[in-house]
Amino acid sequence: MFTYILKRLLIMIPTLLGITLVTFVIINLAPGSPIEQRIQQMKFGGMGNEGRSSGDNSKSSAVSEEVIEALKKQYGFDKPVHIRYWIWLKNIAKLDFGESFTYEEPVLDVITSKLPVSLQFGVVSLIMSYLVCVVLGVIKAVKHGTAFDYVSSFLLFVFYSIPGFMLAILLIVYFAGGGFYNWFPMGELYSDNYYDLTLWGKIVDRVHHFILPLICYMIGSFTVLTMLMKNSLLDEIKKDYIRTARAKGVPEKVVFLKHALRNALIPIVTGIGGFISVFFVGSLLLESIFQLDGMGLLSYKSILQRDYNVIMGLIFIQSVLMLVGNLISDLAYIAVDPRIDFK
Amino acid sequence: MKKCVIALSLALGVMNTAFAVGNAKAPFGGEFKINLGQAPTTLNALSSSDAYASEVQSMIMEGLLTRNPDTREWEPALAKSWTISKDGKTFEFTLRDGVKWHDGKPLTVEDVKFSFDAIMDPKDTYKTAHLKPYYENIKSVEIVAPNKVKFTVGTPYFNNFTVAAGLTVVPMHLYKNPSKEQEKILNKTLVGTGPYMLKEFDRAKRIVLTSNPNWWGRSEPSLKGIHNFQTITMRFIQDSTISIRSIENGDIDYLALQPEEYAQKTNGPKWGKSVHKIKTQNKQVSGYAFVGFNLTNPMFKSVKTREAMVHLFDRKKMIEKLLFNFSLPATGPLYQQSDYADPTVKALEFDPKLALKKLTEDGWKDTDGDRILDKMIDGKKVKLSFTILEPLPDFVKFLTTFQEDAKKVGVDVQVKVVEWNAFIKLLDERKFEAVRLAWGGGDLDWDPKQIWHSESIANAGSNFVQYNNPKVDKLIDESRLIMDKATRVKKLREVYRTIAADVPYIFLFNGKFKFYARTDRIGSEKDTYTYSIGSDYWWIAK
Repeated sequence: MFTYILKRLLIMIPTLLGITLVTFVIINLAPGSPIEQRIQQMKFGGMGNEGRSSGDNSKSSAVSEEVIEALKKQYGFDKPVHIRYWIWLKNIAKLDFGESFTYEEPVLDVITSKLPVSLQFGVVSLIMSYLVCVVLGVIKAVKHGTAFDYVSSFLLFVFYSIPGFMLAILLIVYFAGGGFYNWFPMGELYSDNYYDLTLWGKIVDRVHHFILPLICYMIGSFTVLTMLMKNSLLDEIKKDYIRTARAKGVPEKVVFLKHALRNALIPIVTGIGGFISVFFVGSLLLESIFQLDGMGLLSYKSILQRDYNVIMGLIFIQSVLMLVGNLISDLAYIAVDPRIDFK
Repeated sequence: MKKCVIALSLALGVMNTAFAVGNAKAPFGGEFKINLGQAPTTLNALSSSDAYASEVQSMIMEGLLTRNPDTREWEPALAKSWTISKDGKTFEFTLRDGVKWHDGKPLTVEDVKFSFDAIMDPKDTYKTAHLKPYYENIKSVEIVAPNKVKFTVGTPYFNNFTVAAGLTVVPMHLYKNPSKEQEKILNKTLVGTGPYMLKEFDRAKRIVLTSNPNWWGRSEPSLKGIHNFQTITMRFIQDSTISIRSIENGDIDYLALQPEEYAQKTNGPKWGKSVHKIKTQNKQVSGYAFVGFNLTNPMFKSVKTREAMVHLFDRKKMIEKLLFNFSLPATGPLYQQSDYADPTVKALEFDPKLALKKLTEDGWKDTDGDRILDKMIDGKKVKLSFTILEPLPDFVKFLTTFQEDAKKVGVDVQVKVVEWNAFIKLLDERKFEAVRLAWGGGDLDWDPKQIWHSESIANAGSNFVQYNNPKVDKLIDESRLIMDKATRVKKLREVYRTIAADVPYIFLFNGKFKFYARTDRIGSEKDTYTYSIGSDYWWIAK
């Protein structure tokens, strides 16, 4: 077992090298670099991707060579690509992710400043989905084929088909003071007077702000997880050992909740490793609607602005989390299913 | 040309009396809440480059002089007076006494000199490469007396004084050679001399500014009724539906509107009662959208063909159906309400018959029966079929109308939406047949060099359609040296006429109005000033 884990950990190193190398090459091949971004700003004004540019006129027409040279130096682009990758790699070994070109701050500071938003929604929606979906899935399996099952399935699929950002707009218009009910705030993580509140007041304020975005964050995974739980349980119920248990006169409740459920949970539980990436969950559209400054917006903007160091930092951290997550998933398999052994 | 430079003489230097434009009775106090749109990435006054940062900076930092929103004359700010040398090559500014930075340190001439030197620093210590092109024509800034600085320029150019007078002054004691730790603080804080001070910058939530009780302008009679708020709170709402809901709720007090929002999204029960939407017109420059032809492409070499394309573009219908009648068909290479636009130039009408006539005269004919016109150019058969590059998916609806009308005449138009960075690359490499883009307003005083001079074709300059007319080049070069506006207007109107007649672009639309909304908490003297909305003069009415 120990050697297995060690082997897996060692394999991660070339895998990570591969991922970062490919990313580095791709972002360098894509048209536009931080330098070109700046040149565009000089030529067209800052708001380029709105399809409108300003023909400013208090400056000369073309950007001079000296300015381009200065920019290259500013961003470290005076060296060839492979040298830059090597420098990046050497720095990453020291856990130095470099500086963000846009924010002019260390990449790690930028990422950690956005992390709390994503973390909160990631963790809470993970816990909530598991709590609700497992229970709902079990009830649906028990009541398979009844009116409750059909109606709940119908509702689940209706929700599934609504894009999160559409729901967000609808919820805000109807429940956040858009002329109907004024029950919830329109966005942001907390109120303006948050720091003056008592601890209890702070908690209430956070929850109050949390509800609408959380619903939108969860809506996608909700249906999938519930149906997975239900189907997995139904599969188990059909198996021989359950038939044996029933034949022996074990009560139906015990059959479902004790014998079948344990095995039915395997595919759900083993998915848990993947959820390590909830630390990085982010949604561009939801974040812009609810005015949350999280990972989704950061990733999107750093790609648009060709903020290479942030892109590389995000990819690196996400890859590490994914690889570790996979390992945890596999270990969880061993833990819950004695038939599996990775010797 | 030199005579013109000399002719400018001291005209600007004697205009030292400021005209009060605010309401002297405006009450002071209260909180003004606005939407900034996004959090600035950094507030650093030297290295920041986004529009959000400059909006915040404009309330905290100050320049040497400022413009009157009604007359557009220069008025004193950090400099109390100024002179321009006879040859127009040096400008001297005398600093106001007793101005203090928000941290209590006095403003000095060294700050002014440093602000310029930092931008032009050859080692780019302060990450200011993006500002350098604006200041390249200023050779040096020298201290000539304890309260006097002198700007010396290189080549004479009408805009030199604007650049010097507009220089944002930064505190040398904070910005000069900061340590890594200090640099971090400079990204999140901002120390200026202006009417507002930065109180809070929470990237995830808001920016709060508070009134500067020691602002020099408080004791200036001509500045009564300006900067009347105790607090300004800026939110970061990106979604347009949400920002409109926010002003309905009173979460923000002011919001700039798009024509579509003005026409369709601001009609709920609160509009006209607690929130007012305003359609107004001032002389702030507006931009225009266009379809530009790659003029080196054999298809577009003839002006007749290009004219025919304009006749196929039904701008009237688009303005009616898609732009809520808030726009005019553009007539030439500048916002037509500008002083520099020649009012005698008329917009070319939509007329497919005339288009076909012009194309036939130009030799285009469907010789192979594929319903697309063709013509022999340099021994090669060329089909009248081209692709328009488009950076914005939203704009495609306009081009689709054009596409359909063109097809009926035998012109095959394709539209390709391209991501912005790729789009720019294709422009820089001149790899396109036609392109749809828009120019923003730029400065009120028009200098067409960046876009229309043949020198701007090289080095990935902004003349990507490769327009080259020696007559226009000559007029542009001459106009840059003329300091007298009326004379410059005369020359540039000729440029406007010539370019319009050459049809290098299909000039699309000019917006007629500016739109915004404000809550009934806000009091204002008038809806607009000649050159700005003038929110600096607003106050809290209730």
